[in-house]
Amino acid sequence: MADWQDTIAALATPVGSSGIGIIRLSGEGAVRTADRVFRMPSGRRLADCSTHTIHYGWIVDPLTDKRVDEVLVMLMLAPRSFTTENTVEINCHGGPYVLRRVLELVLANGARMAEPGEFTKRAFLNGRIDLSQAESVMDIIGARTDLSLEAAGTRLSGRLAERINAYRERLMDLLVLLEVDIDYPEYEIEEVRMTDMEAELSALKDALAALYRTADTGRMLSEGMRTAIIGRPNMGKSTLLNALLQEDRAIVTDIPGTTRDTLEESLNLDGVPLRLIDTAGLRRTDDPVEKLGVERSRRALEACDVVLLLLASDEDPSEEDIRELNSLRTAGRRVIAVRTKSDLGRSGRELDPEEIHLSAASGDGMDVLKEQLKNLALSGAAEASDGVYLANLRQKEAVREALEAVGEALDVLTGGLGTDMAATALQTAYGRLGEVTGHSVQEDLIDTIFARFCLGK
Amino acid sequence: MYREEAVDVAVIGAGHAGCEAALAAARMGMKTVIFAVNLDSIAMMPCNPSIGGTSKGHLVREVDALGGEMGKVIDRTFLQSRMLNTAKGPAVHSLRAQADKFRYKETMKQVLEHTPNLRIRQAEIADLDVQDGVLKGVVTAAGAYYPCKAAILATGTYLQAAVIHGECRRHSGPNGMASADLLSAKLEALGISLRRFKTGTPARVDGRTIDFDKMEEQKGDAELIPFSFTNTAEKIARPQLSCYLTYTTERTHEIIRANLHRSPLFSGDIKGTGPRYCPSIEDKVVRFADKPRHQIFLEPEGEFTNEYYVQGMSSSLPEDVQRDMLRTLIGMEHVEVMRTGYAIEYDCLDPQQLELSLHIKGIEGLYAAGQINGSSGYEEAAAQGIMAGINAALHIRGGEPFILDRSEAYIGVLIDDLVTKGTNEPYRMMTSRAEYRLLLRQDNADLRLTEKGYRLGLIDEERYQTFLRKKQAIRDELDRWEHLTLGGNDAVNRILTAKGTSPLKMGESMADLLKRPELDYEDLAPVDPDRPALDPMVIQEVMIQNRYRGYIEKQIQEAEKFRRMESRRLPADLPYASIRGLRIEAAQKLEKLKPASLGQASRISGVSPADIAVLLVYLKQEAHHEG
Repeated sequence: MADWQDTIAALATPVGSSGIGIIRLSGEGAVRTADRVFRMPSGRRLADCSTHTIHYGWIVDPLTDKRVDEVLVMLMLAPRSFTTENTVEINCHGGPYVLRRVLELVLANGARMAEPGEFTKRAFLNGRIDLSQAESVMDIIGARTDLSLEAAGTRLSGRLAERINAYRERLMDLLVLLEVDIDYPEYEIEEVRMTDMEAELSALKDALAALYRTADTGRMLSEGMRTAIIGRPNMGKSTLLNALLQEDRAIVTDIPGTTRDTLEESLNLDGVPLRLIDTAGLRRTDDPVEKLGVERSRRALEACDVVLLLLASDEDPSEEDIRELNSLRTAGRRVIAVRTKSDLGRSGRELDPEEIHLSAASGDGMDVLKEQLKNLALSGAAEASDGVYLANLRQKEAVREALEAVGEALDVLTGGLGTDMAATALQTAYGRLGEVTGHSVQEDLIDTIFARFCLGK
Repeated sequence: MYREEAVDVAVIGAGHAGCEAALAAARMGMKTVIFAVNLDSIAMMPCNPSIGGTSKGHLVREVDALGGEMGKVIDRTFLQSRMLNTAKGPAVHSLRAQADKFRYKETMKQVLEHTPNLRIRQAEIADLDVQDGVLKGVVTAAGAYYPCKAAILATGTYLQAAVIHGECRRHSGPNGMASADLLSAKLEALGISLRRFKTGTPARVDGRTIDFDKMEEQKGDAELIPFSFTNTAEKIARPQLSCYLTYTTERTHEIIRANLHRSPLFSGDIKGTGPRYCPSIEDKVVRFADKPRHQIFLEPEGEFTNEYYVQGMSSSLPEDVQRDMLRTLIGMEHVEVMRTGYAIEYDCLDPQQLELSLHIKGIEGLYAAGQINGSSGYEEAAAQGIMAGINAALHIRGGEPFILDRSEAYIGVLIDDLVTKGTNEPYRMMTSRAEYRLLLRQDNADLRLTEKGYRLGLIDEERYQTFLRKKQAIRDELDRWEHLTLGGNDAVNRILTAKGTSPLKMGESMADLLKRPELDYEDLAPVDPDRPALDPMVIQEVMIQNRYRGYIEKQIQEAEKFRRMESRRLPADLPYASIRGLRIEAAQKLEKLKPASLGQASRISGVSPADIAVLLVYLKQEAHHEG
């Protein structure tokens, strides 16, 4: 059940077309949370800033110190804010994917995802909204909750619910062994072999981790697989882009580039949505303006699911090409090496053993590329096992917390710290997964103990 | 009817709940009287001859920390003592003692008899005098009227009790005691809704007819640990008796299956709801048909008796079947039965009619504790007893009720579960019911509760000062560990290597070193020559607090969140039915339970987070109106 004094966060602008979005945090710890992920060039912290000020800087992942987005942050201290609590608003520029990343970071650093209508509710509870609005607020809370419950019901009606329930059952199987061993020490229950327990937990951890990763597949299928086209100048990037777009009549929308120098287009490849990003030529340069553009392209690249690295078929791969390919793969990007202009002849040296030769002009090889792009998008889904994927951040958060708790249980058991701690962690995991489907830990546990074991005087 | 001298508190029933209730009230200065149908049944243990065990041991420690008696009495009368679960982590260490049940009840009776302000009277209470919703007095079956300001129902399994084995059904209380038949109708007339629960007990057999050589002996611990924080291992030292482990055989199961038609459980003769955690042997054989054998424990009932309790064989099969099946157990081929096992049915009340103080809603001055509230177990009863006694006394003094929440004590979990969630079977405490069990350990019950017991007047000054010294010693020692650096020298590394843990390259604090599960405090003695002489209990506490610090702190944070919800009080007169936005089901449940806080409301089944949000908004709106 939601607490009303902790720190909450949510996207304050509608998700979708706009490249700009605001993430709002409210609560006592809002400033603390923001300071964990926000870096100002001056090195100052928001905690040391005055209220109602705007600050320029970067959102970074505190674990890797990697920059995620360039932002403006507005600071409004209690009681002078909409909710009357400490409020921080992060204005992001990086488009939907980056917005999501920023929200995830905020959630991983002390904030909780806001319930529907929760900012308004707090504003009311803290006396910010006029009393005459009280009844409409109640209606809003009621309606929104119903709606979100309904939505949650629909989301979980299918295979995701089955999957989560299956994990919960496996968790309960383990938990009940630990608990019954604790509550009935004098009885010889089927012996709990710790090595089996650890193996089973470790398998469950992997399964949850795989489910957690599907959050990206879910996004890929709903928002489109982000595909960047890069390469040295004159390697046929725009030609390829146009060829892909021309062949596909089902262009959905034109989305203005998320940065000045990239152009983003959406297309539908036999049901698989693709977002094609044409980047400014990636090359080292001393021109300050161009340097900025290149820097932005780099960031766009980091948000990509797939990178098409272009090199004309008749050119030998340069050291720079090879370095590029390796560094992208090291960073975990999926890269397809595309040798363009195959109609002009081939150089003897390959960039990548799996490279695709094509000619956008003649259309030769285009099918191969499209097939491979589709496979990539769908194999992501296949890895997500049978098309089950986490559809939203709330689910992703719940699975992340469950995953953490299972990891903790495993550490406790292998570290010899005692089954009670492990059982407590598993109760947490079970409870968090329950947030995706809705049951209580204690009652389920006791029912299972008595259903399964023969105990008592 | 004639009039007796007026008292402050009347306690109806002198089992484990009644005794703690009467002692607490009398010690808080209330003129108290305790009634029992038969004074020989004071603190009787009609079922297993043991106190404690998982989570129940925690309850005994908590009762003791508040100034209750159960822990002290079992420390004086135990036959065998064991700390269970020592390898499973500190939260679930559980003390369990076999009791000499004869000496236990004598000792408790003696304590009652020596308590100032407390009268003991053999009588059945037949009626309550309630005028305009206020309790004025209690009336005995013989016609004595005791004016009182508060009464505590602690009737255990006596109300309209029936004892059943096979075709034999008798009107009787436990262990051959008379039942109490007059009060139920009066309670119902007062609007209290009653229900029928069932529990059972196994046979007692003659130890001379048992072949213990064929069984596995189970001895007590060599190092004794007392229940009461006022005792030490030396003070309670004594020779211990053993228990024995044996098994049912295929033949046992055959006999049971062949006679199921004579079991009142299966014939439908017993209608009361029995507990799942305490199934009869016939139940086990039917439900777990593929289990080839069941464990059976033989436990001595006392030092000066040959009677043994056959744990695991609770049954309501006919006497002759019980005898035959007992004789199929390994080592019991020639056993003689002394007391037949039986099922007992009794009236109890729906605990959702209670407030968290154990006050019965709607009748000022009336409280209930123990099995009448739908619980089972001596320890669960004692825990409710002391709380009801305290709250009756506070009510008379005009003070706020004393309530422990789920993050403070197992007592809090027990009472909140009963009152908020209700129960469909006799309720047994289990560690898995406690959300914050890393905080609610049996070793720190005094740290959690003794301060409160002192404020209530149940802990005397001397004990309190001892407690404060212990608390300080724990703080000092924790601090010493933090600041004592043990270098990566040979002496330290030899110890570490010998214990199978990695040696140090640089110095590390003793606190960090002792977080390693391989290491014990004693292991570091050679390299920590200046350590102070400390009570082993202090060392244990420091070890636990140090080693599990991260996990404990995490639970403390969760408990704080939980307490914020508990601290949002809900007025008793909230017009739930007319609050806009509340769903009808939620409004009805809230109306019935009248929860004391938003937290309690959120635990009622059928009340959703959205309903809680609506309540919050409503409360705020009201506050505006008043402001």
